[in-house]
Amino acid sequence: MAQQSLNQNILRLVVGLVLVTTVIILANVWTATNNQAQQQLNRDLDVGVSVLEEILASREDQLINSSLVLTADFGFKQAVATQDRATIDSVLRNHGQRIDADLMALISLSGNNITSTPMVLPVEEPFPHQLLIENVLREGGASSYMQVGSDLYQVILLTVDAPSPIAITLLGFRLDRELLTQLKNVTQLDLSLQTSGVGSQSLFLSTLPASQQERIISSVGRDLSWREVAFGFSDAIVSQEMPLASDHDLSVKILLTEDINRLFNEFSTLQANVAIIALLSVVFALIFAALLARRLTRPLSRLSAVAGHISSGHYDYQIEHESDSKEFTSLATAFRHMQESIKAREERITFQANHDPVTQLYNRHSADRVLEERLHAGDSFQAIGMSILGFRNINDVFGYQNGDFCLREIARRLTSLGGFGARLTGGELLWIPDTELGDEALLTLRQMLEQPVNSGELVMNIQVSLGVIHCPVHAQTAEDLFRRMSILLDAARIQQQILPYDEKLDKQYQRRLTVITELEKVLIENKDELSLHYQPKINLISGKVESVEALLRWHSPILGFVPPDEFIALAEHAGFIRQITEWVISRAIKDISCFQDASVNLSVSVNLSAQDIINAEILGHITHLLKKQEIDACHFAIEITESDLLKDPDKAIECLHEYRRHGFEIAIDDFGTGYSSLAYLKSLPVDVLKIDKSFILKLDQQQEDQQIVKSILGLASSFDLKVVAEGIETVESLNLLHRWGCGWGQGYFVSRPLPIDQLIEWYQDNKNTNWVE
Amino acid sequence: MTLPSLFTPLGSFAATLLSLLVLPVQAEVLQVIDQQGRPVADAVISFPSQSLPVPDDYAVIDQVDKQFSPHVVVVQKGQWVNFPNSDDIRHHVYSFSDPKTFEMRLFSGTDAEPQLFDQSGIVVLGCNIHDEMRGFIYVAEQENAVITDKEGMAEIAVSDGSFHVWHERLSTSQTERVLFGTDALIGSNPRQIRITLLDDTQEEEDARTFRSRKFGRD
Repeated sequence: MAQQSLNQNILRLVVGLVLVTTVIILANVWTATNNQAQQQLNRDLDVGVSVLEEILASREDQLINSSLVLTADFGFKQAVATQDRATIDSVLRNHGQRIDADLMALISLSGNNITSTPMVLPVEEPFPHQLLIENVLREGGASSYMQVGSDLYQVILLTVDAPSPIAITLLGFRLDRELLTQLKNVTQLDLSLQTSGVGSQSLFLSTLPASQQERIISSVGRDLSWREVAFGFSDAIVSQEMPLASDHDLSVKILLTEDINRLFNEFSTLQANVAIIALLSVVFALIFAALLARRLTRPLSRLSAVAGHISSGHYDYQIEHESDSKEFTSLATAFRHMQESIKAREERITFQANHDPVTQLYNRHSADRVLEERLHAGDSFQAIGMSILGFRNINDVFGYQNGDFCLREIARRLTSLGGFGARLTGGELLWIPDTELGDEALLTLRQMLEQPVNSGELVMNIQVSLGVIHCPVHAQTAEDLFRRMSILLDAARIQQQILPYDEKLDKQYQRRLTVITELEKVLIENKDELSLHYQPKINLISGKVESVEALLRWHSPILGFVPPDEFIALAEHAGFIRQITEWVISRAIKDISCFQDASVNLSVSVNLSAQDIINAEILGHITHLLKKQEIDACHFAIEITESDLLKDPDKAIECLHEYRRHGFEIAIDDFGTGYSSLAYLKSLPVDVLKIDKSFILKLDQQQEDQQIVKSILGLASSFDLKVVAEGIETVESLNLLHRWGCGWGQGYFVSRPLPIDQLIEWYQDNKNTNWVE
Repeated sequence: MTLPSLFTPLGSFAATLLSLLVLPVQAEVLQVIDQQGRPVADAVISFPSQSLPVPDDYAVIDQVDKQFSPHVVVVQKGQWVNFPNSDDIRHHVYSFSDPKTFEMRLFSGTDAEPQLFDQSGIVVLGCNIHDEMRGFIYVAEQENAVITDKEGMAEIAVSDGSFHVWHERLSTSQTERVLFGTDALIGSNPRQIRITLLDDTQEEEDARTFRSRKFGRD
């Protein structure tokens, strides 16, 4: 359903009500007046009939009285009895003049005309209406209507009694148009006279034009249909028939005709007046409704505009309520309250969004915005980052509650110094002082921050490292600032001092980033940049090369040679060391296959991290590939660094047992740097110890190294472990080791790590070299 | 006056002779009834007869309570009638009937001249002052006429042939007689004569007539 405005609805309602009322009133008035008119019409006609009856009766009385006087006259009786025509005629004429009668006659008892004046009834001829004569003889007299020629008479017939009837007298008044006109003046109705009878011509007299005879007759007893009343009359007359007593075959009727228009005109005026009033009331209702609607809707639209303001986040709109209606005032008040509470809530939300809930300092998000704004505005400032050393430990040791308390306290100390404070993450805060701090001030700041924090329950000693970045010299964007601050704080944490920003830090960071990016790219797209180099290990007993260590090399076209220590560590951090491991294993096994094809009988050892060892899939990968290439497990060995192994020894040892079960030789790499206890060494399922090259490189010159190496060799021999010495660079060292009974040696003195084809070549060249002669 | 008295003995003789010679004529009671079988009073039954002697005495029609008394009188042709006035008001008696046309004023307590009725027929009497007064004199000639009583009975010598009956309501002019044959006598003991009367204009309460209706209005 289409929505309509309140305005329209009110208008529609009010106008509709008024319209309906008006229509009902109009219909009522119309019906009532029309009924009234109809009744009036009927009443007029009835009154007319009554009046006419009365008039005709009075004329009859007059005739009767005259007749009685005449017939009682002895002289007249005598004249009739003696049939004295001359006397009779004179009496009739004389009497007729007295009463102004229009017809006087004498008729014999046998019904023959004796005489008449005027002479309209032929003498000795039968009287035209013998029925009348019979009535007269029976009743002694008769009152009737009679037509003679084209004249109609109201007549009275009486017997002349002398004393028994001897003749009949007739007295008559003519009914003519003149009489009708007189009667019309009395009744105010148009009158018509109509006769019809056997043997006499029909007669029609009317106060209306005779041409309307048909119309008048057809209007007798007409009912007015509502259609006529509403839209005008097709024939604006209504007539009523009034039959006159006629004792014989002549039928006489008077038609009373009323002009409807005359009657209805009065009512029409009334109806028109009412219609005008109705129209006016509709117009007034319209105006009233419009005003009312405006008054109702104006505050509504104002409030709706306010709601719009509020929805678009403006809460300072002054809500006026000048409406005099209580509801609107309370609505406006409610709006105001709503606006205020929304404002308050939004402020709170905004605060929460912009501030760190623990320290109430700005959070990094809002700090980002603020700093961005300041940098954008060309502001120059000193940003001091501070990192609570070992904050994680504080949480771990004292609980988060105390950790938070500690943070809050530091934040409070910062805030008391003014400036802009924000919490970056965990125990790292950022502070921008109002004025730049010099080295002295920085020290003071650090001292202030490092005051022990007393939570009431316990006292926490804290250490803070600071990093200082000058903006915009060292950071042009907030993002830069945060990133560099993070790098700087990492460095400062390590060095536990106040560290100003140095571009080197950033370059290191950038390099790490590039290494990771490139390495990732290499692993996904172009593994050709990776290669395995093999460094031969010589059996110091036999002097022959029996195995090689696979070393990963990465020649990047962008970064050049990247040391494996660097990118392996980064790959471990970045989480894609496993891909590298798998690649190395696949390649190594493939190369073993190549060695065998080239009749180079070497076993290959691959460096695995503790992570790799723990991952069972790696082992599955290895066994699968070996099986596929039909290579015996004795040709594949693994090396794992001592320090790596010590991170989670139990798990690692368990997994190493698994490798051992598969028949792989396991070597501990970099042995001697990881503080491994003898107890561990005992339980480790290893076959080989690789003495770290730091002890070997200058073995021929360093007494201490010689002692350590000799001890290790002793240890290995007591645990029945093979020993490989790495980093042999001189023949002296080689000879020393050989002399001390070290099983294997490896180093630049023998060969640097070589690509597979070169290694094969080298192997072929040195097949017969005895390295320990 | 003298002549009837002269013929009287002869008349009686002749009558006696007739009754002896022709069949004996016996007096019989007849009843006149109307079309509804009701007895009709004041009707006159007349059988033809030898001329009867004119009675010497005067018939009398008195005026009592604005009425002729009696209402109907039978006289023989040539008989005189006296019109005394017993009322203390005046009357103006008249007749326009063919057998006797006259008028005379009757003053209270004064005797007027007697009137001679020497033409047979029915004379209708009226009073010019009092319209409701009406009386009838049946002037008989060579006939034996009797007036019926309230039961419509009259005793008369019945002879074969025809006879007349008169009543005021037999015709509008009130002067018409009706001729019957003796075979019109119906029933027995008494034998009846049925006549057809016009509606009574006076007796029947006067209410339904045109005149009385119109009078009543005045």
